[in-house]
Amino acid sequence: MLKYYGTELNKERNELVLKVEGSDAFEWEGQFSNNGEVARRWLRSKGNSIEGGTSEVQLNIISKRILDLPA
Amino acid sequence: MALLLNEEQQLLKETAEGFFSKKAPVSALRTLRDDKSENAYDPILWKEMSEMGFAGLLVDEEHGGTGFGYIGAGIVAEAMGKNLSASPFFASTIISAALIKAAGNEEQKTSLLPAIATGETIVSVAIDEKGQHSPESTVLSAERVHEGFRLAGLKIFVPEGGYASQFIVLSRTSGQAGERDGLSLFVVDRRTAGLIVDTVVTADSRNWAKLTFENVTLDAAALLGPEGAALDILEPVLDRARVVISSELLGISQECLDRTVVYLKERKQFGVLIGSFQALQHRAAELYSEIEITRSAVLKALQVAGTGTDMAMLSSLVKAKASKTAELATNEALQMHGGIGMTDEFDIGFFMKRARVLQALYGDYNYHANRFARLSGY
Repeated sequence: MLKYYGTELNKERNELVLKVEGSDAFEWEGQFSNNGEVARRWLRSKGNSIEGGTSEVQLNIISKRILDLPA
Repeated sequence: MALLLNEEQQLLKETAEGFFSKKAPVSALRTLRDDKSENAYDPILWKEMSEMGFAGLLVDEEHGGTGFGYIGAGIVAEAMGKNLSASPFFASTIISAALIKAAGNEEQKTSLLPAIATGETIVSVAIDEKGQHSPESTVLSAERVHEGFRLAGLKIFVPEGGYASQFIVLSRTSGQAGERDGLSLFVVDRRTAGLIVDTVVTADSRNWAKLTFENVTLDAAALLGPEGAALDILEPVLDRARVVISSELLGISQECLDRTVVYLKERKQFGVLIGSFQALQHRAAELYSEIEITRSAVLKALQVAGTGTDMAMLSSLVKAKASKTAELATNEALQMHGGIGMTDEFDIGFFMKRARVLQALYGDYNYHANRFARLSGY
């Protein structure tokens, strides 16, 4: 459950940072953005809910192992 | 008016989709990025687009365009969204052409519109100064001097600004930042002394620029439209431009869904096609429904854009909806593609990066939801 919750939360958090920064968030190279730190971190966060067992797999485990729902 | 394309519009749609998928697919944007192409656009493609008449959609026949109008502009923008085709189509032939048409005197129209319609002159607009869209927050000052005006300040997020030859610049001739009155538009040649143009390398691999005005002196003739009342002209033009941006977002959303559905039908996991999982079927069906609703809203707004009707609310509704749908479509596409979607070799990431930039351009979901609420008197 924590894997699911934590990774989805991190994706949302990064989307929020993008919205707060507006167009400033889109610089990919350059000093102003420390070489696109915000944009690159945002893009990287998308992998969180895929790597190490996708969110869909985590939800399957919760529904089968915790809630004991049928296969 | 029915929410359908007529025969002429349907023909343009087929022509545009065929043209961009052949001449400027996602792989063309990838090449522009990998080659570190200075301006992130292909002048040969732009010439062909112009010859096809795509540059003259909003320019009337009297000034060398086709006068096809906003429905045509939306159709072309959607096809470009599906293919992530890079060009100055939006910056020069949509928002700049519409501004010149709405605000320009006969001399300005004659000197700029025919050259925009043939693609020879590329014009862009400089509106925002901070990360969040806010025309009335303009600080860049235009001070009256005896020969005309002197501009000082900064503009960012200027589309295709790195290679545009003319800029339409929103400037403050009187009043304070935050005030609606006191704003004026100027046409500035990029070679004017004191204007510094810096291209910014952005996540969407397209051309965006920062403009620095260090006491740029202009003739009085550079003024576009009435002094001090630019927002009365700019807002209706922006509302129409936002609908065209929404069309591009719609194209991105549709392409993400189409590619994802293909993937769901061919990728096997645990011995079965992942498209057979009901959880994913429901998500694909939900995304399809969101896109269909967005498509209807966009088309309705394109139809209204061609009339003189005030469309502030409708435009905000459409930009908010298209932004939200594109965020969902790009996120869902990436997640359903799994690990392969994260790799740079796979195109899906390009759609996500372009979508976020367009979502932010001239107001994101939050800006327009807020504007819609304000206009509704909430």
